[in-house]
Amino acid sequence: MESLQQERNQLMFDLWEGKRPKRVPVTAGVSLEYALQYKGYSLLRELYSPRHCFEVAEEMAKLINTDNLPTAPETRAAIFRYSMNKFMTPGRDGFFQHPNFSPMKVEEYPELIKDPFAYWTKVIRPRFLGIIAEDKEYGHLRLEMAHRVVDAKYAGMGSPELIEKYERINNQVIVLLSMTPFDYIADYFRNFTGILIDIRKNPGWVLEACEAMLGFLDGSLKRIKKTPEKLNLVSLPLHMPPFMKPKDYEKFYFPTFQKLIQMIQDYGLQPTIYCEENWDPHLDSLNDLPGRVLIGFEKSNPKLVMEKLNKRHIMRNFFDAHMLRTATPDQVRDEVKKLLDIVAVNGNYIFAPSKQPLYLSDAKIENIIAMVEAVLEYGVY
Amino acid sequence: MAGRKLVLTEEELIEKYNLSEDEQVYLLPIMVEIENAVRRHFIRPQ
Repeated sequence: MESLQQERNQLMFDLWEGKRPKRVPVTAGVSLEYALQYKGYSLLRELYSPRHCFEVAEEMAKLINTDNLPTAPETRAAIFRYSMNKFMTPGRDGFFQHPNFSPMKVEEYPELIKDPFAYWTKVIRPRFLGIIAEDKEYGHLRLEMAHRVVDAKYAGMGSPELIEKYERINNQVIVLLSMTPFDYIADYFRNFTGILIDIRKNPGWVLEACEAMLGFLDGSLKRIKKTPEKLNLVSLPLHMPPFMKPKDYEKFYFPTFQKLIQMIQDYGLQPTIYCEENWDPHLDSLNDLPGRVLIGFEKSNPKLVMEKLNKRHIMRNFFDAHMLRTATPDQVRDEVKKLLDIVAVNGNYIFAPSKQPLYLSDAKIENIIAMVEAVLEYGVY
Repeated sequence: MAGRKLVLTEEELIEKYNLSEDEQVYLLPIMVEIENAVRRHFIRPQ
């Protein structure tokens, strides 16, 4: 007889093999910060205590009966603080944010294009990691030590232990969390506003930089050690397209995005992308992505997506996370049913809310529980 | 930017990172541990 965990794993294997699974897989989660706040802990104190982080992640696993682990206890908050990371800075309440920080000057595009790896390690990293900037000789060693110390603290009380104890999906592993070339330049080098100016004033540089970044990302993919008999996922949150005109998206964003998806598949890895905000103007292009891609949608119209997108792709998300904050459990259940009627027709859908609740105020726990129960009840094929 | 002392003490870490009382409960001990790991790296036999 199959264990619950085997059943859950099979749902994912079926989806990636293009088969209709027994039921709609239900994935959802809350941030570690949400879980800490739920237990009345402080992000300035217990966020840095692996024991407390494990405790609250386990509490979420007990409460939220999803196929995935709803909250991972691991956090790099202490490393962000120790390394003085300017991309991850804590607010007054201790919650980390990614500010619109631009470490690259526009005139440095040729340097990036010439050797993205050297530019990233020698120029950009010292600009956003204070520990490397102030200790040129031993900064990298300090960073390495910080990772080792923090990682060791989760030994025996991390995600793997909770996944096994609560029989959650264990046949997939995120081997790389990265970005498309254009998003990489926008997020880590030039920032949101800088890149949108660059495509007007220096379009040639942006195009060349995207191609160069493709080589940089190929280096990351090459170094991945695949886990046999598991789904090896490469996860790409997609940021910029909703803020680009279709003709700019087609010219600057899509070509290297499409090539990256092909590269991921050529290495035998599974690409999973998440279309932030509304992608309705760009939906047709997703049919030009090769092979099977797991595509998450935040604010796109689910009806339009199901009409337009090729069935070989796997769809995820859609459920309006705003409801988790404002609605009642009964209203949440009704909305789940309505959504499943639209998206759970071809057997290629994974349920997930449009966004993960980050703060305790983002979602009522009873609504999350009602949402998951409703999918388990109504999502049977 | 001025260089960094090889290993910072608890008091120096509090000052450098402007650690609040709350942050001194769990974050500070982790930072001390990292500094000690750096120290051990330098004193171990090569």
